[in-house]
Amino acid sequence: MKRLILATELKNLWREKLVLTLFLTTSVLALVAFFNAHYFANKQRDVVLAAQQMQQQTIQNAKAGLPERLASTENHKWWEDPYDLRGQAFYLMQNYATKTPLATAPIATGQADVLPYYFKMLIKEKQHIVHQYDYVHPLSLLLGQFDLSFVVIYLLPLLIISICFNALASERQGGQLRLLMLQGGSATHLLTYQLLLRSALIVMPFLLISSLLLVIIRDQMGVTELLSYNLIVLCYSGFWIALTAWVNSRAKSAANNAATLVTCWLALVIVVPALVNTSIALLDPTPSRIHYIDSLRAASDDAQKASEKTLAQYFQDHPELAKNGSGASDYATKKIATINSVERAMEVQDARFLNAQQAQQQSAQKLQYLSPALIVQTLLVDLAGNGLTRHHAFMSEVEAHHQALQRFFANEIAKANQRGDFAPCDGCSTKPTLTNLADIPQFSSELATPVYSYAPLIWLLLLAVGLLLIAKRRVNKLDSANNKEVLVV
Amino acid sequence: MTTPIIQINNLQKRFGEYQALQGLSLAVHQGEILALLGPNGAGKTTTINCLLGFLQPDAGEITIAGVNPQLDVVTARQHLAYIPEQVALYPRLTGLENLAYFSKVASIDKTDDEFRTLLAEVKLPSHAVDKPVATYSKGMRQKVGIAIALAKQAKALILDEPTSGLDPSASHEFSQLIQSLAKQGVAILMATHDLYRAQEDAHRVAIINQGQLVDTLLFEQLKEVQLESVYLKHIKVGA
Repeated sequence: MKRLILATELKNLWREKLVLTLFLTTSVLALVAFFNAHYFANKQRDVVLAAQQMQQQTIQNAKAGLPERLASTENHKWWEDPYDLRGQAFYLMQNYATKTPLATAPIATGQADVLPYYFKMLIKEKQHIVHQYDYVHPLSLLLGQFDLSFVVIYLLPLLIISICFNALASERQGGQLRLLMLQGGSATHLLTYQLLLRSALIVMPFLLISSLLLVIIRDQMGVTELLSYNLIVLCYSGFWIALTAWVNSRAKSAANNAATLVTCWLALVIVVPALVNTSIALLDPTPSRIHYIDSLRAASDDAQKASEKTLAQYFQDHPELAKNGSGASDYATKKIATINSVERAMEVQDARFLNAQQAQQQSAQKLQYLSPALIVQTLLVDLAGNGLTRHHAFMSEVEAHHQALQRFFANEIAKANQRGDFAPCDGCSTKPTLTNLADIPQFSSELATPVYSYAPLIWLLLLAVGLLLIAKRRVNKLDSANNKEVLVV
Repeated sequence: MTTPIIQINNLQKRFGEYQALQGLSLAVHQGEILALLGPNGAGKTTTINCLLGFLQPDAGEITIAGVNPQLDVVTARQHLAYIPEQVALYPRLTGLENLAYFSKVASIDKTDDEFRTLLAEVKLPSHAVDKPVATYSKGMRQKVGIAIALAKQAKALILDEPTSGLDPSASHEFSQLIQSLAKQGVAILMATHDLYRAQEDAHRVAIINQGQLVDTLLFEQLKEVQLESVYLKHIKVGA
């Protein structure tokens, strides 16, 4: 019976030219979405590689030029001197903190197009580095990136609806269902196999093509990641198939089914996520960035106005860096002291942003259960390594690297000061204080493979199973005797 | 008299305030064609839907080859074939494919050649057998419907307005086919407005009005009376 219904259904669809049209549609969607996001991820990867190469090249160049520099008797301006700690610390350093896109990146671009994925590090207030990125360009607000997740979340349900809305309803309206049931056929079987075949025609080519592209074109694509991607897409499609089964089981007209399903799509994919976003923003509003910048300026002004006091405070905090006998008041030490002071003054503001972000993320974690689209968006973006969890981990690493750089230069500048390397004697050539740029701490990322929770996916499956059970009960009624719903529309 | 294949006893069915069937009793025997006449709303289609197991009567009893469809709809339907006014086939499948599909759903395992023979038996033009049903005339679709019934070897055939909209030639062909089925022993209940066809084909005519049987005419009587005048007399009385 299964094979018979499937074969007849396939024949019907084929003669309607639907199979070919759908195969082409899903194939084109998979190809375009993959390559769109793949090129975007590759562009980011190229930038990261270029930054890393530039960093290594600068170190090599400095190493090669060191003998000449040591032999030089010219008086070098420290802010132009690559062998001067101060020049490197405040102006010349080629030191990058980078977040390399994962092999799974084309699955979901997420916020990777607006969040920074590399930082050029210098010794300055971290606020000038890590808090300068929350802009969103207007086009990205329209639809976001056209990647695999966009196709999965927005288009797959629409395609499933477009091919499944009249399953069973068409036979009921056309009268074939009555004849089928009189021949001993079952509405439950018919609906089940119709939905399975029709949705498979949409989902399977898409999954197959996108998975193949991920394996073939993306290096280091892991089996676990690939299976996770397939599992997420299948669960999400399963939810929409179950919803379609539920709607079609009501024994309404095909037009009624289509209207109901499109309304469900609008509600679950557009309206609920929009309301959730609004709720999150209202519940835990992000502090004003303008106020933050004003505070940063004020803190910088205050620190500079009270530079002597700032320096004194700095040496009080770091007595090991003080020059024996006299308070070191050179530019570099003062600048580092000022930076420290500003960072300390901004701690409260930074905490406010961090707390708001964490609160928003917690709310999002809870509210995602309201919409399958939100669940799948979160899962796919996390799987792609472009989610907030990985980004926060990256930002923590950036801050840690910034601190490591600051410590390194503060120590080295203090030591050079104590040795008197910056001012050996009147008329003497300044000494190189940084002969090996490789000594500068380099950014190393230990971002683990993103860990994602499958709990939301289980919720999605539970929803699908619930809908299927209701649908099964309703269609079983059609199969039983004395059900006039088979007769007329 | 043989045991009736289709037996209806004191059937009653109400839709809200409207009493569609009021104690209708009928029987159709093996090899018999019973024409069920009545004006629109007389209860013909309601009776058929009760027989097919799609409507539950409020009272009364039905049996199809001894099986009550209210109690065992699956078995009752195995004995039944049904041809509505518009035979509902899949328009994109050919006549042969439709016949094969609906027969196989009923677990009838035949080869394509056997199905072709069946279609030839019902006089479906050979050039049409492999064409989509969407291109068929109503008469050709009726023939595929009869082929489905033939393949099923049903004991009872229920027809609902089968000749409505058929041209005289197609109607004649159809008449020959159901007579042939009756000769094979199939009990045929034919609800119709076509008085000529009823008089020509039926062994008995049952006239119902307002859900009640108002007259039954036997084959011998049918040859002697003007069916139209009898019919109109009963309908006017009922009105």
